[in-house]
Formats: sequence, C-alpha cells, structure tokens
Amino acid sequence: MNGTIKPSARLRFWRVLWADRSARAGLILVLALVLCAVLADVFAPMDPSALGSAAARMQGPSRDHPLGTDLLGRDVLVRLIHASRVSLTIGWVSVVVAVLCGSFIGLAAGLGPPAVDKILMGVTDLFLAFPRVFLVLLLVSLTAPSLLLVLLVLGLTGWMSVARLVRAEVLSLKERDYILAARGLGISEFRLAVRHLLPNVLPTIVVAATLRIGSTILLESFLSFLGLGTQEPAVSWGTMIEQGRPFLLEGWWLATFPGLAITLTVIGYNLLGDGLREAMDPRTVVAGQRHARVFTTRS
Amino acid sequence: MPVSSLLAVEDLSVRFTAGAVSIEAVRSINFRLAPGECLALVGESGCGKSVTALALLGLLPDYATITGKVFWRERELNALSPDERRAYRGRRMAMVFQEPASSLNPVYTAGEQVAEAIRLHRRLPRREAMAQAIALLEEVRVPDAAQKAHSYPHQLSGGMRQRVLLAAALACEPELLLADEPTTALDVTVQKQILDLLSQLQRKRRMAMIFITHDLALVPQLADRMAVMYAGSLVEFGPAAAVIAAPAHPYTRALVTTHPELWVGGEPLPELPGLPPDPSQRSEGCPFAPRCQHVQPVCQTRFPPPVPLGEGRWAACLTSVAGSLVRRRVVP
Amino acid sequence: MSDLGGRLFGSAEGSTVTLPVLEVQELEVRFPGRTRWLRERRMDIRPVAGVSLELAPGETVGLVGESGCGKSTLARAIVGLVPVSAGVVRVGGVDLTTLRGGDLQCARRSVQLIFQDPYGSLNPRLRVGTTIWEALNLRKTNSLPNREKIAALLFEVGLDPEVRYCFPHQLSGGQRQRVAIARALAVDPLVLVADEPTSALDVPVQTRILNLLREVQMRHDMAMLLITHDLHLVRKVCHKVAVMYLGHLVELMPVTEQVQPLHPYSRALAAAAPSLLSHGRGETSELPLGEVPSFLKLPPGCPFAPRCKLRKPICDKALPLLAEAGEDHLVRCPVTLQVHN
Repeated sequence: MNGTIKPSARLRFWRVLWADRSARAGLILVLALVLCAVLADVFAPMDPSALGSAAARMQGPSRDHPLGTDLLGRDVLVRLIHASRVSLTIGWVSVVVAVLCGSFIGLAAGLGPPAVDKILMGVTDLFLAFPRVFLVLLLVSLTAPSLLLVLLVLGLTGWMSVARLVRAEVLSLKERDYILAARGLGISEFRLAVRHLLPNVLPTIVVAATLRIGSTILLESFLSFLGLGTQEPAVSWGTMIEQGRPFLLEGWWLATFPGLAITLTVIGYNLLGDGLREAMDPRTVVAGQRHARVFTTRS
Repeated sequence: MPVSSLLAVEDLSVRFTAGAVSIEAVRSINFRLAPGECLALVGESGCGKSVTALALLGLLPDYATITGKVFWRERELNALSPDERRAYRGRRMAMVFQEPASSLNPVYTAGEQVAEAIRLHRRLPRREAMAQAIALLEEVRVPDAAQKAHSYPHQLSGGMRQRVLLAAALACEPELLLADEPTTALDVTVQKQILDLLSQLQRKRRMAMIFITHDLALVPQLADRMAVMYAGSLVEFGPAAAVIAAPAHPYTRALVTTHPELWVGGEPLPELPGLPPDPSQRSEGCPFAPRCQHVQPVCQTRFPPPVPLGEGRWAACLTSVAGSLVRRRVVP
Repeated sequence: MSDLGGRLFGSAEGSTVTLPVLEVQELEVRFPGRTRWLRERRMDIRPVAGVSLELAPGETVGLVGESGCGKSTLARAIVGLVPVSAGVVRVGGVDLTTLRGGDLQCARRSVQLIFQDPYGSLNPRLRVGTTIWEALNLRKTNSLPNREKIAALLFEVGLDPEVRYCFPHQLSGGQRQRVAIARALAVDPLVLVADEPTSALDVPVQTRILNLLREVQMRHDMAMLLITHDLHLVRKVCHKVAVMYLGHLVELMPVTEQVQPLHPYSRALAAAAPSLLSHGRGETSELPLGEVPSFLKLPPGCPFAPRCKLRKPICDKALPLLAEAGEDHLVRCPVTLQVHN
C-alpha cells in the first residue's frame, strides 16, 4: 500500500513544459533564436556589412543568397542572423532591468507599511500616466542614440506594470494561511518574504518577464525603424525594416524577412511564457504520472 | 406488487469518460420513492450522491453515460427527448444546492430570480409573477418578504439566500424536491431553522424529498427512510430510525459508532481507518472490503447484491454479518 | 532572549495550585470605523470585545459560537497574528502583547495555531519535509534538524515518513492536517489553538484527527483551545466550554453531566445541534428569533437581546457583566441568573 515518489522537482518541471505542445513550440523557437544570436559568428562568419559587388545588389532570394541582398549588395540572411544578436540582447537586458526594478518596488509596496505603499504606487501611477512610447522617444531624442541608451531607457520605462502585478500578487498571498502559519512559528519577516512569499510570486514574475521580452523587442524595432535605435554599422531587425520600407514592391524580401523574424520571436516568447507558468506550478499534473497518494497512516 | 411509486430507479449507473480515463461514479442504484415520502441519501464526499441527484434530473454533462432506468409514475424518463425532460425539471422535480452564494445570480434581485422561476413554467405577467414570488418568500419565512424581494444576493445572509433558493425551487409546485446538502454551509441555528422549514413545507405540500447529506445526525428529524452510499453504490437501505438504531452493513455501523454523539468521553474515539477507494480504480469485489472488519475471501471477488433483512430493510453484504448486526442495537 | 519554547514551570507535582499556561485577560481587537468625508463616522468593529480565558496545562477548553462571533479572530489574536488593541495574552507567564521583534519571534513558539483549511495552511511550493525542517530549525537546540527528527515527527502524527517528499497537493485533507500538526509540534509549544481543525474533513477522518490531537496533547502535556461548532465534540473532548456571541463571552462553564447551559444563546445552540438520538420530526421552541446582526449595528446593552425570548428592559440598558452561576460557571445574563438562583 505504500507508494514512493521520485523526489526530483526539476525533472518534473521539464516534463510538464515539454508535454504541452504550444509550450514546446515556444521553447524550441526561443532556443533556436538564442542559439542563433549566440552562435551568429558560427552560422554566418561573414561580415554583415560587407558590401557586395554591383551585380549582386537587390537580388531576390537565390541559391547564393537564400534571402536575397539589399541595396548595397549585403546578404540579407547574414544580416538577419547578426541582427538577432542585437535585438535579443536589447530584449533580454532591458527586461531584466525592468523586472528587477519592478519586482523590488512591488514587493516593497506590498509588504511595507501603508505609507510606503501609497508613495510607491503614486510614483508608479505617475510614470504609467505617460505613454511609454512617447517617453522613450523623448528620452532617446534628447541625447545621441546608442545601444546602451536604448537598453536603459527601455528598462527604466518598463518596470511599472511589473510593479503593479507583483504588488497585487503579494497583497493576495500575504493573507494566506501558510504565510500566517509561518509567521506564527516565529520566522523573521525577512525570511518569510524570501523563503515563502517570493517563491510563490516568482511564477507571476517569470511569466510577466517572458511576455515582455517579445514586446520589448518590438519596441526596439520600432525605435530603430525611426532611426533612433541601433545605428550603423550595428544592424537590428528594425533598421533592416526601415531600410527595406521604400522597396516594398520591388524588393519585398528586404522588409519581409526581418518582419517575420520579429513575429516569430514574439510568438515564441509568448508561448514559452504561458508554458512556464504551468510548469512552475507544482499542482500541474502530467498525464501518465502516477501520484502515490496512498500512504498508510497509523490508526 | 410494487406500491404506486412516484419515482422508481432501476439499476442506475453513471460513467464519466474523458479520453482514456473512465470513471464509474455511480453503480447499480435501485430504490423507490412514494409520494410525500422523504428519503435521506447519506455518504461521504465523493461517494456519488450528488451525481445520482443530477442524473435523476438529467443535468449531467455530455461526457457522462447513464445506463439503467428512471421511472416517474411509470413513465421512463431516459426515453424522453431533452425538451420533454426539461419540462419535468422544475414542474415535477426541483433541486436545491449546497452553496447558496454561488447558486444565485448576483446581478438580479431575490424577487426577480424567484419570479423568473415562476414564469419559466407558467405564463404570467411580470407584476403577478412578482406578487407570487413575494408570497413564496413569505412561505419560506423570509422576514419582510416584500422588502427583501428587492435585495440583491450579496445583501442577504447565507440562511436567507437558501430560503430564496427554496422559494425558487418551489415556484412551480414540484412533487419532488432534491436537496443536496442544503445546510452544510450554514450555522447551526440557521441550519435548524431551514430543516424545520423543509419538514414543514414537505408536509404542507405533500411533496416527496430526497435529502442528500454527509451528516448522519440530520437524518432522524427529516427522513422516513434512508439509503447509505459508499463508493458509488448503495450499501444499506431501510427506515431511517431503524437503520440508525441498528445498522446492518459494516460501513453504516462504522459511520454510526464513530459519530461524536455516541462517543464515550475519556476514551479514544473509535475510528474507521483507511480511505474510500479511488473512483478510477474500482475493483470486482465489495468496495468496502479493504476497510471492513468482517471481511472474508468471497468479499474480494464478488460484488455484493442487496440482501433483504426484513421490515423493508436490506444491506449489500455477502456474508452473514449484516444479518447478525441488524439485531444488535447501537443507539439506546 | 530566553528559549520560551521549553517549559517555564515544571509540572508542579505535589503542589495543589497549577498556574495557568494560557491567560487571556480582557482581550480586545478593534478595527476603527472609517470616517468618510461629510458622513457620519462608522462604528468601530470589535470582533473581540473584552474576552478573558484561562487554560491549565493538559486542559482542553472548547470555544463555540456561530460565524461572525469572533472566535477565529480571538484565536489569531492569541497567537499574535492579529494586532491586539487592549488586554493581555500570557503564555507560560510571558505577555506576548508587549513583545516585539526577536523576543516576539521566540515567544510565539509557545502557542501554535492549527488552521481550519488544510488546503491553505501549507506552502504549496514546499515539500512536506522542507516545511517540517524549517520549523524544527527554529528550535534552539544544539543539534541540527535531520532526517531522523523529521521522520520521527511524521511518524508521531501517523504519517509514513516517505511523505516528506510530497507536495501538499498530493496529500488528502486529513494527511495535510496531520502535517500541520507536525509542524506545530516541531517548535514544542505549550498551547495548541485548533481553529475548527476538522470542519473541512470527512466525518470518519474527523475522528482520527481528533484522536491524534488528544494523543499529542496528552503526550506533550499541552493545553488546547478547541474552536468548533459541534457541541457533541465539546461534550466528549473538552473540560470546559466558552460560548461567544458578537465578540463577547456569554458563558463559561465546565463540561459535566450535571451542569446545563444557562445563557439563552447557549441553550439555543444546544437545542439546534442535530442529534442522532432525536426521534422523528420535531420543531424547537428554543431557537432564537431572526439571524445574527452585523457588527456594524450592535445594540447597546446585551448583544443577544434583540433575538432573545427572555428579553427584559434591563437587557437593553447596558452590557451585562459575567456573573457566577456555580463553580467555575460564569454567565452574562442577569435575567437567567435571577431565575436560576
């Protein structure tokens, strides 16, 4: 009558993630993109800025250039691969900055005294009142655009909704019985926050973060499209679209492929984010996994 | 020769199937209900009593397969079309559920919801329906019924909401009322008020009632006969007072002897060890065998049929234990 | 910072006076009414309005009352999870209401709360073993918590030690409640407060958990405050019972065959309790009128007066005091006392 359970939580996590088809798709996509960015030099050892010969300009997809060439004869595929690096770096780093700031503020607001909560949420609301895009545009146009600037600006304008999310989650979890029980045991408030609250807030944060990466990459592309983001010789998908815009009919491959790349990235991150939320909840059951619920109890 | 019964259930079974998983929630239920009679259906959570009630009303989801027959005054209900079946709900049979808070629509007032129940089965102009709704609310002893009819559910207490639900259920003068744990979520004094009310309503309207509960102590004050359910099947049946006084089936006996009221202070309270079987893994033999004190080899292999014990009682037990237990009183 | 988890007074064998291990004196929990601009100030809500109780080591006291009477708030106030507006809570001689910070954390361990909902009282992301380990770790002993100790605790509450690898959602309600008890025991408390520990469980499981609580209480010589709505339970398990209504203690009496409840509300509760032994259908006349009013519209005078069948003009004037009706028997009803004496 006794059952035994395999104690590995990590294994379970991956199994749940893999079992869900859309999460699996998201995971594969994201992994592919990350690999692509990291190993850009391996996949495309050529220089993305290398100018091609005059004959090779504005060629559609062909055997030599699978995704075509642009106005200056540069290979689109090579540029696409190298651009993924920039887009992904910006996406990840600024999201990490935003999520760290936002989580910290959200936790402080949720756990702290009401005065602190009011002040922090007031500041958050103030920032939220500005449309993010305009805020970004304003900040970026005030100084010379650079990668670092874009990173910072995107990060510092994205923390607000994370803060609200985290605060809401903390407020709801604060009153759960198991938190009260832990406090009743005499655990310090700090340990309570870190050991009991945080792990339960983490799924929300992770999902929020993953979903934001997609939208941040989109925002960066938008900036680059306006010419305020990545500058030459660095290349990002947004700049590629901007350069391809005048040639939508004659050179459709110039804007389409980077556009597709952005779309796939956003979809991939969104799917992964949803899957992560399921996988991180210990209650999700994987079909076929038997729970040994039957433990004998002494009578 | 069967007495003219209001409701006759023959070999009712319910199976839920979703993909590869198949669970037999209810297995082979048989009983008859006379007009105006109150039957208590007793069992632990998960034993299938709510599913049985929903099956009688025809309210089970599509992935439930129902076999067996349900007769309403000699008419077979399963053979009816969904529309015809719907006519029976409310007019002939009505149901009251456990959670008054979630059973009422929060955006309509109490009076509107009762009036809607009335207008579902009778064509009445709105004003008249409302007047009748108020009369019903008075019948279920809602104080200031005319005023309370204009209150929203969140403005009413649990007991009050349950009364509103009762009023809605009674709106079309059903002949059978199914009450699924109607007082579990209520305080003790409110529970007593609602039970008294149910008893009174039943007598006044000569309504039959199937009262579902997990609390044995509620049975004597309401029920004429009782049926005990375990793991999807009926294990004992008979007049309520007699069954409680001298339970014949080992499970019923365990339920009664471990009830707090019968404990002898000072000693450890008698226990029933183990847990009910997992619904997805029902075995061939008696479902209670793993926990039964009197278990014998035959219990593991054969499913026990109902064994008559005289005086309108029977117990589903293959051994002679039931026969001997029926003579030993538990309750003085 | 003394270790208040240990015994502060040894069991006084041979002495005739046992000091109470839990003393609650005039405890009050008050939530101030909100002031709205240009509107009348809402009344303060006092879910606990001046409650006094005492528990001796090894004693079980029942606390009964219907929803909204404040018994859960009282339980949490005793354990320090709800701020106390007035009054004293002394466990093992130490007043918990005056402590802060590290002292409070230490002292809290002497009184532990078992929650009603087994599904919410365990952290869903931690395995059972981790939860127990964390509690064990708080004890100031020389040795570190280890597998044996965790296993021993789990065994003591009737669970297979292998359960430590499980997450709470993999266990049944009864098993979760056992884990909660093990966690409470891990810090070696003097007093256990059990807030309806079995209401959310099936009847057969209820008996087993109650037996476990009694066993554990006797073995560790703890006092227990058992909050419940089941009067039969109280009669069999408790030494004394306290009845609460709208934040006030209305009766405190020993549980014996001879002593009957005197307060009209206590009698109503007793009359309303469903009984296996009742013969046939019958209606009770002892039921109070109407339903429990909200805390916002408290009447002056006796809180039960509006619903009481024995109501007299004196009941509405001022809150009656708790008066003696017999040995260890206190009642807050001058009308009944008059009749009784």
